[in-house]
Amino acid sequence: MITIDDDDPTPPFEQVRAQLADQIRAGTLVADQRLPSVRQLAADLQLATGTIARAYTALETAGLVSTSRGSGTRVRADQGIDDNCRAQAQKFAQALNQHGLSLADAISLVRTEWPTTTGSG
Amino acid sequence: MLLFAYFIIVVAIAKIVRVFSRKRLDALTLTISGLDVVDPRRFSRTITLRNAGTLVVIGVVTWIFSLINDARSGWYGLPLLLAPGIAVAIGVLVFALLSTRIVSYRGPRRSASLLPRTAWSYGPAWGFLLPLIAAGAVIAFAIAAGLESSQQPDGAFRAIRIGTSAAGPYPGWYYGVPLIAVTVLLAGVTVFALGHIASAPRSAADNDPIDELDRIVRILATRTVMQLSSGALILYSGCVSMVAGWATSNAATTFAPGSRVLQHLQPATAIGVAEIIVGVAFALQGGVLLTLSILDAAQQPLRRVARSRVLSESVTS
Repeated sequence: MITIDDDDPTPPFEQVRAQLADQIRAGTLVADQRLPSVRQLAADLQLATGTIARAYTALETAGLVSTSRGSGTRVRADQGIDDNCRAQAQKFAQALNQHGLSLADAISLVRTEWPTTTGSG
Repeated sequence: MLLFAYFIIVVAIAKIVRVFSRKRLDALTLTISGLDVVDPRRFSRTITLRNAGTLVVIGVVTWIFSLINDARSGWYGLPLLLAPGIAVAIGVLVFALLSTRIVSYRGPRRSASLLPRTAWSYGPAWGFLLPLIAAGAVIAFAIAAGLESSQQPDGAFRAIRIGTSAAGPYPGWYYGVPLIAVTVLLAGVTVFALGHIASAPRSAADNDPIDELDRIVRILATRTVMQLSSGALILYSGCVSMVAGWATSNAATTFAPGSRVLQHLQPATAIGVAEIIVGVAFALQGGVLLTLSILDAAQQPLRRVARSRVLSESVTS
């Protein structure tokens, strides 16, 4: 399932791209799974076909999906984050959620702490 | 009388099939109550109108072709032969092109499923083989009959010659070539219609009952199109086989003055009789599928809910 929110300041193409990328990374969309056609998704979400095509192109450039004339757009293999990391992320999200933090605050916190863990800055 | 008996048998078989598939058909109805019922009810009415419109279009096109057939006796029944195929093709096209969007929701938050919808998404795989096999059978039979046919004095291949005697009408090239064209047209229109039914936009509202209604409506529409086109094609196979069998039997029979039968040439007579029997079986099967398509088109996807129940649920919600 994918959702578009007109009230969100993020451009629609970026909303589509980000949600698809998240679902591929999280393993909700598995390797070799076929995505709906540009026309189908555009018609269902009542967006222009160009908007969906742009999101698909961005995903292809990022190496998350591959498009071929015969088999449409499919999720590429080995793009999901492994189960252990996802479980850790889930624990982390639940813990911060219990502390009443918003998603934006949680991401900000990770961004701040990240350089200290990698040591590269 | 024979036609009346045919209709009675076809309707009786169709009824029996419906009784045996009652459980599956029950799964294709949905009860929506409360305030949510308004849009689906409106949609249900448009579905009924679409189905009725399709049947009217098929009836009108058949009637026009029958008028052409009456006006052009020199065409030896060709318009009548083409009528069912062209009428069903136009009907299927009308059926598919009329909108199947349930609710034209345009809120700020819109959702869509990430499952691709294809022409094959709303029916069993074997169901899609049926029209394909039927189309293949019509084309194969038309070619076989064309190769067996012989020319009439006017140059048209519409008779069969066995020994010194000839009989017609026979589905030779005169009927076979337009029949192949109509079969290809019908197969193409069917694939287009199935694709169109599947790819028509879904409601963008994230609403479970409406999503389920959408799925049911698409399954019923797919079933209707499959049964309509398969039925027309199988009916064609049956009628062509019967006409061919009748002509073959006649050509293989030597008559004495006074319509007394002198002899039956074998194996031509046996082949002719076998073609008639196969033709009758196919004609029955085709008729049953056409009747089932009408019954499916008439099926309401939305089960009626008592008004009092709807009102009470509206008040409590």
